[in-house]
Amino acid sequence: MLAMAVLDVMKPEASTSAEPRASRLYLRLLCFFLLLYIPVQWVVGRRPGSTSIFTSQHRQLQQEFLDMHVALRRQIFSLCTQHGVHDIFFSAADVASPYFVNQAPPGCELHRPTDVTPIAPSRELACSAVVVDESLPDAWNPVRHWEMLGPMEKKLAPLSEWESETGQFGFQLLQARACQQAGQTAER
Amino acid sequence: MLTRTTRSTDSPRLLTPWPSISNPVVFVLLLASIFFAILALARANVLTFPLPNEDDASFFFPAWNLAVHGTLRVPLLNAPDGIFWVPHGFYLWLALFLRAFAPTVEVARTVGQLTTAAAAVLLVLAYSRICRSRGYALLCGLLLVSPGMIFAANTVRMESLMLLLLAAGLLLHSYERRLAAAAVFILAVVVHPALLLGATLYAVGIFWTEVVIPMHLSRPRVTVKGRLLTMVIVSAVAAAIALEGVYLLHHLSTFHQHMAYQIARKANRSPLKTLLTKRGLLLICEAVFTSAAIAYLYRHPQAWRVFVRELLPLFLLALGLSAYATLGREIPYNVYSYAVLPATFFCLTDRMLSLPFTPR
Repeated sequence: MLAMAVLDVMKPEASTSAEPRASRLYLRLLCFFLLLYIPVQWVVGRRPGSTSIFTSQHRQLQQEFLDMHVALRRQIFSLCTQHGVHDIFFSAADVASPYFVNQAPPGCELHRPTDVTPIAPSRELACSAVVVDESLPDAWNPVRHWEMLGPMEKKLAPLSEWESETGQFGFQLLQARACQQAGQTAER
Repeated sequence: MLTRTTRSTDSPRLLTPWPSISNPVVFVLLLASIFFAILALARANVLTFPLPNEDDASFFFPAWNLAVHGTLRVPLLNAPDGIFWVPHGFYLWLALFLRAFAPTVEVARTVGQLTTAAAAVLLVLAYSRICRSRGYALLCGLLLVSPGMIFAANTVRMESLMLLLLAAGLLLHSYERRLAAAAVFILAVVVHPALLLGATLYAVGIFWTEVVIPMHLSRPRVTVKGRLLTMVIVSAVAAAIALEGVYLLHHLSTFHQHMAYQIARKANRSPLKTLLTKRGLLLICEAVFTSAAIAYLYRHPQAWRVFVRELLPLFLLALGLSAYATLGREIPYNVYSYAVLPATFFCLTDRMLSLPFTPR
């Protein structure tokens, strides 16, 4: 409002002269098209990805995502404080880490690559590292998927996993197979 | 029933027994209802429209790092030299709020929701000045209470800030502050390149105005305060762009590396196929409509002068943004293609219909 007060510019000559208005017919036609566009816009834009606006599953999806976040935090906290894990690697398609970053357990570092800044696989295969593989409905496409681990998949084995009530959200915590085998041998 | 409120110089277009929108208090209340409608719809659909997605992390962490550690380097994203596939304006903006309130993704999302709602209000204010009818501007505002806007409000991305800058620029243009408006559109380029083409075309448009229309008709009489405001805006934008430029020069190799990825990703998309999408067809309609308007108005000198000064730069801006949104082919750009641009075109068309048509 202050800026608007400052903008007290006088109108230039060309537009101060009385201007004829358009015929009512054209204006009414324009209003008609404008009003017609409103429902069109809601029909075209209501489902751009895998969910639609005002989805009937809203509460359920919201709750399951929050449950996933709580379960993930609990399991990572346990790994970092009791099992000697120091590095948590999320994938480039991860969605949970922003909800987690302010509650990262002490002594553990979070790593979350992007498509432009990938992480060397060797770092993820260290025995002090755990890889988080999330499963959830895709925000952009109507498919549910596990994240792409690519060639890493064969070198990793699950430490633990979690799935939401309807199975729409879930995650696996994975570690290098070699580390798990070495751990089992040491326990024997 | 539509109520037409008019400025003192205009004659009423449609007379109705409901003159309430001419009352500033009613207008402000209706603007507030648009603001709260967008906010309420966004809150009601948070975390499901859209679902949590990878962009949340990609755009939140640089701002989080800046707010918490005071640096644009983002080791968490394995980007120890920083992120260069988009400019840094959004991170700075978001970091201010994360620093002031709390460095959480919930704060980031709330900032997006409030920014989008505020942008919608500014857009309606700009429309009311451009088409000179509060009633019609509010009708255009109804197009902004839409899925595209709710989607933009609920993502941790730069569309909300882009909308705010676009709205601020349109408002400045409506007050005949064309240089300041151009500066604001160019500032948007340090947030996201979506307005790059639009801002360039707008600059061409206002330059053309200077050429086509005699100086004394195209130059508004400006108060000292108005001139000062323009100078402040232009200087601030120049400083922001210079800072971004210097930062890029210091990280040129990383910039090249990141942009090579972006360009390769976008180059994979066929422009021809893109034009045959819903967005593409809208772009074609907008381009054809603008061309027809130019061809028709050129034969009416009085209308042509007003059109070139007031409307043509905005048509060019809108076409540039529409082309980017169409060829960029990202779902978050729906807010431009399906909400803001149609609303702007409806507003510009209404103003165009009221131009003084006298044949050459």
